[in-house]
Amino acid sequence: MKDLALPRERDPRPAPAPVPTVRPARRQGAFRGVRRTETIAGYLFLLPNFAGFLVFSLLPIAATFALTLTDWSLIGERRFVGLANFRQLLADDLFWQSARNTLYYTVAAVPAGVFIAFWLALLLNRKMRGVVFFRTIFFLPHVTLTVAIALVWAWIYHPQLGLLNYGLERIGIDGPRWLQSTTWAMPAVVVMSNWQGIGYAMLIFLAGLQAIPQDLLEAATVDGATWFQRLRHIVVPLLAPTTFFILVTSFIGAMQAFDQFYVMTQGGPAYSTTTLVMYVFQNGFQWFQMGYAATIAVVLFASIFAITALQWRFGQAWVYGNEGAQ
Amino acid sequence: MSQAAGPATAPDTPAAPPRRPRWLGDALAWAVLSVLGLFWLLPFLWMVANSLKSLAEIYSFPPTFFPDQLRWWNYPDAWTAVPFARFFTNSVIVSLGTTAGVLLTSAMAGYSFARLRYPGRDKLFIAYLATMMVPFPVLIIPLFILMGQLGLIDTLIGLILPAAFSAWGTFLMRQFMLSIPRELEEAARVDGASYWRVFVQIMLPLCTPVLATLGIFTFLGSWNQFLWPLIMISSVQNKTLPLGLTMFQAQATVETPWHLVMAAATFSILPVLVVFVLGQRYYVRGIATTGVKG
Amino acid sequence: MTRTPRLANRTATRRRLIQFGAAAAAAGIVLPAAPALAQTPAASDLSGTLRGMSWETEAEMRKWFRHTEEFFATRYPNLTPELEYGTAWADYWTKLQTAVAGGAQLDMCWMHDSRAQSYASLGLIQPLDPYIAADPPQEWPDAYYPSQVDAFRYNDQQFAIPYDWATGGFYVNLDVLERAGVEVPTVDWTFDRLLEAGLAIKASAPNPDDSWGFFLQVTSHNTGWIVKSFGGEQITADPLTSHFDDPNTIAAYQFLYDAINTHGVMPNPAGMQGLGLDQQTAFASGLLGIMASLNDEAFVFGEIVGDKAEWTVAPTPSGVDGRYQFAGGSGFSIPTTAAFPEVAYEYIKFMATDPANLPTTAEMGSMFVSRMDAWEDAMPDPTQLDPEVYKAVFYDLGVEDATVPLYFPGYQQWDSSIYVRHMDRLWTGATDDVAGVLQQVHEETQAFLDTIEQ
Repeated sequence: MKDLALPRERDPRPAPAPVPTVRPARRQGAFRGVRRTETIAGYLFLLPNFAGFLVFSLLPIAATFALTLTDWSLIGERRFVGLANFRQLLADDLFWQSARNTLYYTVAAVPAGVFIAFWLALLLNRKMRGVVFFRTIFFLPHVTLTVAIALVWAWIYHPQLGLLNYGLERIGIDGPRWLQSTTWAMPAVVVMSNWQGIGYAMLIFLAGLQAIPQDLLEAATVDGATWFQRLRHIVVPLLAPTTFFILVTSFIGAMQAFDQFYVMTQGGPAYSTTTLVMYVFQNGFQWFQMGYAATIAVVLFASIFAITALQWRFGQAWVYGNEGAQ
Repeated sequence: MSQAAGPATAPDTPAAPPRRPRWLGDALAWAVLSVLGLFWLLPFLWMVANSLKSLAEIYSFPPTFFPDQLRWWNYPDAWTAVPFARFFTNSVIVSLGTTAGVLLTSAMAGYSFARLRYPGRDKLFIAYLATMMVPFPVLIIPLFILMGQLGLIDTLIGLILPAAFSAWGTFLMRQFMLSIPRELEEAARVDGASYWRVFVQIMLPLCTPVLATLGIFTFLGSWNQFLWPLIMISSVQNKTLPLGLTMFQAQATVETPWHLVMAAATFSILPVLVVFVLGQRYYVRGIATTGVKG
Repeated sequence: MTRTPRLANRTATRRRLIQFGAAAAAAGIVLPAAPALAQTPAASDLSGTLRGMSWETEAEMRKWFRHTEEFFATRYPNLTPELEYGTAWADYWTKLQTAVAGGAQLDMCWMHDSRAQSYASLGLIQPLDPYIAADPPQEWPDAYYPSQVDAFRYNDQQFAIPYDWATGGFYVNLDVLERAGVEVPTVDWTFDRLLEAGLAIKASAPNPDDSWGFFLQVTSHNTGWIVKSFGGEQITADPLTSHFDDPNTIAAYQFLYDAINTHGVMPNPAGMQGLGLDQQTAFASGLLGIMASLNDEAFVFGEIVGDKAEWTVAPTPSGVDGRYQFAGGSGFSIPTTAAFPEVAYEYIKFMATDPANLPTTAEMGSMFVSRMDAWEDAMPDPTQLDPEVYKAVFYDLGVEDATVPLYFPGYQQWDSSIYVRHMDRLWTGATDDVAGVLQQVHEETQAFLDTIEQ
């Protein structure tokens, strides 16, 4: 721990003031000193994380990228096949179907999930008796073991024995065979998945709401702003970095959805709920085609990266307005 | 800089001093939350109810909600069927270890990305973000081989290390630190404080809610982690809870004792609930009023 | 019965093959096993850890460990056995592959006939012929179920020693049958008779919409015996050929389609696999009269059904082409990353083939052990089910009529990317064009089979 305070120990002089609120590089000399300290500090603060990140993330990822050019089938030699895997991908209908399913899931699940979580967080940001209890309830599905949740939802969705169709029957509706229908399986997983994941976005929104300066709200109230005006003009803008974070991470998570499908539908029926990551898993671990699995993963990675970059571009303007904090 | 407002005075958002009578808003909120909450609670309750049934009762139609007889002994039966005490200890070690690692390294890296300027910073940050976009299943074998070379297969350290340097946590910390006004630190820097002191004495206290959030998520994520421990752990004495749960339902052709699985699943989430409820204690505003720009 | 000569023929061919393989091995291959084997049964001074991987549960493994201790204490006192267990079925394969692909030491593993061909063709497990040639199990292979010995052969080499033998049969809810006035199925039942019984059961139910007559598994390895009964085939070997366009095969699938979607006498199975709840719940609650399953279910069925119903077991029906019955099983293999393959082989032989240990092996798997004469060790609890009935349905008929699914390298990929993908549309009622779906399956299957290097 002590070592991490190095910037000061290496440079015992008091850090030169003022810290650069200054426009870049007018007075080179003084500025360079500040800059060097800041640079060293920046690297040192990053170092503990980066060391692990390099070994446990970047290294395996580099290996995966290399695998896309081979036909490795788990054991034996890795034969170089050039871009053959990418060509195979273009002609593989199961890949395209999985890609469509993944997009369907992402579009259906993420905006709705974030929207509901936002209102829930507002509701749970009250100073009220029992608020911790309610937060815990909405968070329960996030902590209950997936196996148990899948089982419970399988019972809920069961066409004959299930709670949902039992309820629908009571009001005169003949419910579909949810998880066994190529039409309804995906919506069923979307609902289950949002139900399970709502605690994630809710909790982060709550943390963001806590960071909103109270005096701003008070001042606005004094000026006669209504509840909705305060929400629209103070809370929403100040919450923007949080919302942005939730949107980006939820998007990345949804594009890589796996667990909920693996336990609920195993990708069926007829591949109607197979996501790209499931297809990666299937190719690599059930069909022994690691090279091809890596290829799908890399294409998925590139798609997520491209879309996130777009989100970033638009998000940056929205989040930071004209200040352009970057 | 004014004092941080304590929990007792933290008013609602976005409302500040309420105009309506307080109890009315609370009653409304209670009504809405109770109806919604039931829908969230139901599967959990179902799990608890089934943990108190006999296997024959679980395999019945029409399904009954309340057990015929409260078979509380399903709990000791499940607890002793496989060494759950051991699995609990392992899960606690792994989850605490991972959480400590993530809190420390993510907060520092987040600070570095949010506040300090140096060459290559934004490219490095993009690399962090990018690693979140590579699906885990393709990393399993490279990571497994790496762990083999480090001699960490079938160890708890082998579960902690790959999770302790979180890109997600770094991103979260960066975003929150970006939303904290710079004025406080700048004042401290002018007074001659080092970056480390600014980080420890100013940033971290301001980040209490987000640190609590990060801690909760990391702990729970680690607690529920399945695929990686499945691959890494081979001996019974190193298994974590989720692996322990599957020890009941091994063979495909033979029925799983679901009543015992439900009982085990119920008691295995209790520590997590404790963490969640305790975590909320730190969940009050870490920032009250500052000279906010704008 | 016409079955017997065919069985004998097959045995002869297989035996010739095996003897040939053993001779070739003995003559030409240097035996890595020789030094270790020479020292048995005297205690060896080999030291280290022998690693194995199993899908069994804790309770099952306890029985196994009783013998494990004895084996190591007397023969390899300095070797510590570490057998990992308690991994769920699907996870087991993920884990096994990763361990071997990642180069981790693994000396023996549980193997299933459905995976053996793929694993052998990839080189994840090693041929056992040199070990068998040097030190064959007692009366190998004549005393073992031929279908199980064959199931683990790939390219004329043996990749596992079989340890059990599972057969299919009907579980019958006697209360439901009595209500419907239906007799317990016998060996003479035809599929038409089964359908009639199913209709009668459904009609007699208090709520026919939520009740079914019978349940047959429709996964690709579970339909083989049905298709054969109708005079058809799915896939045959030498060379691998698809017969999904055979009119008799189509007739068998038409029967299954009609049972599910036309008559509603059979529950829709798609999407139910993996939870293992549905048909058992329906059966136990009197919503399902007759259910196909494996013999080992008899050991746990009493606990599921409880006092909700009286039940027994009965034979599956005969078709126009005679009678066939599902069979399959597991074995033990030695991965290519073994550090002590000789010891592993000796250990496998000790557990799976030594007559003195077979009672434990039988108890562990709730299955018939792979030695045909050891069936008595694998009978269910008489208070649950009459052992005579159990033996007649699963053993006696099984020995005569059993047919094992034909597995080939890449079977799992074929199954999910072609068979399940198209058949799901039939089972869920998305289409009623049985012949059309099967034609598509046929074409894609043949194209897939043609890519397999044989």
